Amino acid sequence: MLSLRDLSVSFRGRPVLRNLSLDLAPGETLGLVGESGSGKSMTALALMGLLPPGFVASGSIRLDGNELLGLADADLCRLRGRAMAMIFQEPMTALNPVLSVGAQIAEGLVLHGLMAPRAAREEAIRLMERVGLPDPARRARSYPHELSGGQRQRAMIAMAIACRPALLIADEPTSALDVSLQVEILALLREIRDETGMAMIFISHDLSVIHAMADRALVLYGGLAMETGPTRHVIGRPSHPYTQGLIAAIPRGSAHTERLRPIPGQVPDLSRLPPGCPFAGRCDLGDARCAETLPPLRTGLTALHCHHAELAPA
Amino acid sequence: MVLFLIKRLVGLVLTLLFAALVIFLVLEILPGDPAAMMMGVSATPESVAALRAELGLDRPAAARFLEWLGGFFTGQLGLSYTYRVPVAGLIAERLAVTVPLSLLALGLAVAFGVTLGTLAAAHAHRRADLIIMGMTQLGLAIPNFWFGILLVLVFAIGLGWLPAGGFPGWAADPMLASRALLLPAIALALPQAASLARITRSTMLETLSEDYIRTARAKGLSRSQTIRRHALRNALIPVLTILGLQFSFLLAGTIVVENVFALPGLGRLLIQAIGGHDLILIKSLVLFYVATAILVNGAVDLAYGLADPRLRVGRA
Amino acid sequence: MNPAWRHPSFGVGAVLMALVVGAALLSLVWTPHDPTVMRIMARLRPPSAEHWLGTDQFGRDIASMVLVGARNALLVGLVAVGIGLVFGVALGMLAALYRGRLLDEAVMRGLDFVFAFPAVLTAILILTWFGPGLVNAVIAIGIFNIPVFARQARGATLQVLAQDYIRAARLAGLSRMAVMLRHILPNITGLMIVQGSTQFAFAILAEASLSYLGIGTQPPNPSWGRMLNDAQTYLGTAPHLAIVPGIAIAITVLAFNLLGDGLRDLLDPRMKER
Repeated sequence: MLSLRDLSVSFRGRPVLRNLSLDLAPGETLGLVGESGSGKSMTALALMGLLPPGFVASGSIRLDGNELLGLADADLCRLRGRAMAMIFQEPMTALNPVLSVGAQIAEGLVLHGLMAPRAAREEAIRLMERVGLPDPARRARSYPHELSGGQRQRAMIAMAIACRPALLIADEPTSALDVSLQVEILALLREIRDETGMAMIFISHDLSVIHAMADRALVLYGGLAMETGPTRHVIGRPSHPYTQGLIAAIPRGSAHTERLRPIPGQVPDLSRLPPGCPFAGRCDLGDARCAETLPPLRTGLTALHCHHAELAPA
Repeated sequence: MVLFLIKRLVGLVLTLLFAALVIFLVLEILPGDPAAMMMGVSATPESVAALRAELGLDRPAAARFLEWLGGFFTGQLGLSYTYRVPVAGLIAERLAVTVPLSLLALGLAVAFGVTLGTLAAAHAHRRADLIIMGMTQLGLAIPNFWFGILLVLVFAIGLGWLPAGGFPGWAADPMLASRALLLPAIALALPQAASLARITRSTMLETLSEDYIRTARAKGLSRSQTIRRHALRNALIPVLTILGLQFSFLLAGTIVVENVFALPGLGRLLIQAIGGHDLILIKSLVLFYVATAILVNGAVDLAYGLADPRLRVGRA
Repeated sequence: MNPAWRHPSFGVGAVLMALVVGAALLSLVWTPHDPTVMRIMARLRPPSAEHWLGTDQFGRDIASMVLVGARNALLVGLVAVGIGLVFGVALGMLAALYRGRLLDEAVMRGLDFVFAFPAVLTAILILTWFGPGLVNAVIAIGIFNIPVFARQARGATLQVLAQDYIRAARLAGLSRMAVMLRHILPNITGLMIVQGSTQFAFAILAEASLSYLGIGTQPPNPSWGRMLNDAQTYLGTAPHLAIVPGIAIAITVLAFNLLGDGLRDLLDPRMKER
């Protein structure tokens, strides 16, 4: 239903995201993994057509066969919230402080012509009940500051699923919450996905969250897809040196016996990326060719952009 | 909430009392002999003595002060020295010009200021923004009385559409009376609209960079729908606090503009009273102005609490 | 070229200010005619080769009066801002130094109180007491400026006081006075200059209003506001009288407002509007 071909995003001529291609089927969840500044959020905003001023997207984004790039804002408005919806990272600031929660949830239903205002208000209460907000009829009249962080994120989810979108983009939806709440919210998202059969793009820097949510994973680094494939292969048997480094850096239970192995070096400044592989400077296998030329896509158990990595047999 | 209200009201009353005391000191105690000051150098000792008796200057200052304050509630503010009519009646009569004039100007200023400021923010750093911001700089730089004179030159003397000045009174012809207030209100509104536009633009820009604006866009609202339904209210809350201060300037502006258009309002009365050294009239007029400014500022403070749900509940 | 000049507000403001200051300086050594000489035979003349901007109801040369008026306006701004700066900054810094104590509370309440009076009204009150005139008008405007500067100075001083190096300086044994003069004053100067520029513009507007009302600058001293008052009487017969003094006021106010805006951006890039 969703297919990206060579999606690139640039800011003032500098690439922020390079040649991203991916496909997504209904009911499927893709996990986008990467450190901050890897281009995850830019991918999400490009999909929604909500890139900040100055950012330019090129390539192709097709949703149910319709090309989204180059669409007029008025046409995109008909799709946003209806065909595709998004949940943001900061539940504290992503809700309008001067409008009641119920009104914010009902707004999309009326806007997309699905319901009359009164019916939408009732539907908002049902949605709030569905996402597990206690006493929804009263909560609907509350303002965001009267809700806890976890409750606000539930309200955000209710808002996003209100119009039953075919695609839900969740950008670090649990990163601002503490661990026990994280588990609850992830469970809720899984439930709703299975119930509605919507496709989901789940963005996180946390591999364990991706592992819990995603069927397939895509590892981004410096605006380039490093490795992609079924989540269990990408995390269980990674082939790309960057993915391997990322997994080696995860703290495990036996912290006393096993030393952490952070990836040496720093995330490159996106404004000074080498023309070739962005990981070249930090990679054990990196050489002159890596920095010069963009590695081609090679496919084994997973698909990856690397000149050197040995492919695990499919 | 109740406690907060009481605190605010007590503060307000104290400020008003203090203001009255300062005005009383400046106009009635510091000049030494107000009667002599009012009558000027050519007065005979007999006439000064007569005025002293009329003003009751032989009685203690505290008694006169309290009596004056009481007058604001009973309407007994004494006789104007120059007009020989009760001050309270004079003020009431002139309010019929100044109040509609201020409200009309405020309305124009808010309508144009908020609209232009929002437009400028929506087109930030593009041509429309630059043009609007340039216009606001001019609006702030042009003295309102000169703008009034220019309006008279163009619309009264040049085109003959509107009267150049004067006021026919509401009773005679309400239509004509409102036409007489139009040019003065425009002149009065110009600097207010300019500064409101600048403030609105900057609070709007700040609001438009908030996360919940992106949420609204992600829901499918167009840019202009987002501004109207989600940004405007948030952006106007800080503008509201400025409005109290703006009203002070507007009030001061009526003094000047009423004189440009020879409107029989409070401002013209004040300048005429100063010209006639009519201290009795001046002290009540000045307190009236100051009290209005203080009360409006107080009311705006309260309104601010009501407009923002976060504060509304925080204070409950 | 210095990048400051490329900032549009600052550049335009500086050029306009140079124009006004130039006019004021020029008027000290040369004017087309003596601005105070009256020629009843040549009254209310339209612009001509001899009188570039015409003559007023007494036959005085308008161009000369406008030039001399620039001197008057700049003087008003300078003195009114000076009064506000000296008293306001001193009060503001003192209040900040004794933050939360009685002195701070008293100063801030007092300033709030002055602020509650509409500016022109304060001036009118003071002028009723002292009598009309340029000096009194300037003092009145200056008094209104005091709370403006005091609030800014207090806020800025509190910010500087919170910095670590101030604590270090105090620990090193510097007295409060020495800290104020050596560390805080230089740090808040920029902000005060920005505010000063804005208040300069405000002072010129206020003086023009008071003079227009007849309680500011008194004849024969030339003042743009006063000229507009005279001009209004002859609006029907000699409209040219009403144009140039107004433009002169607008240009001067614009100059200082733009300078203030430009300086604010240049001094603090973070405050630059997005």
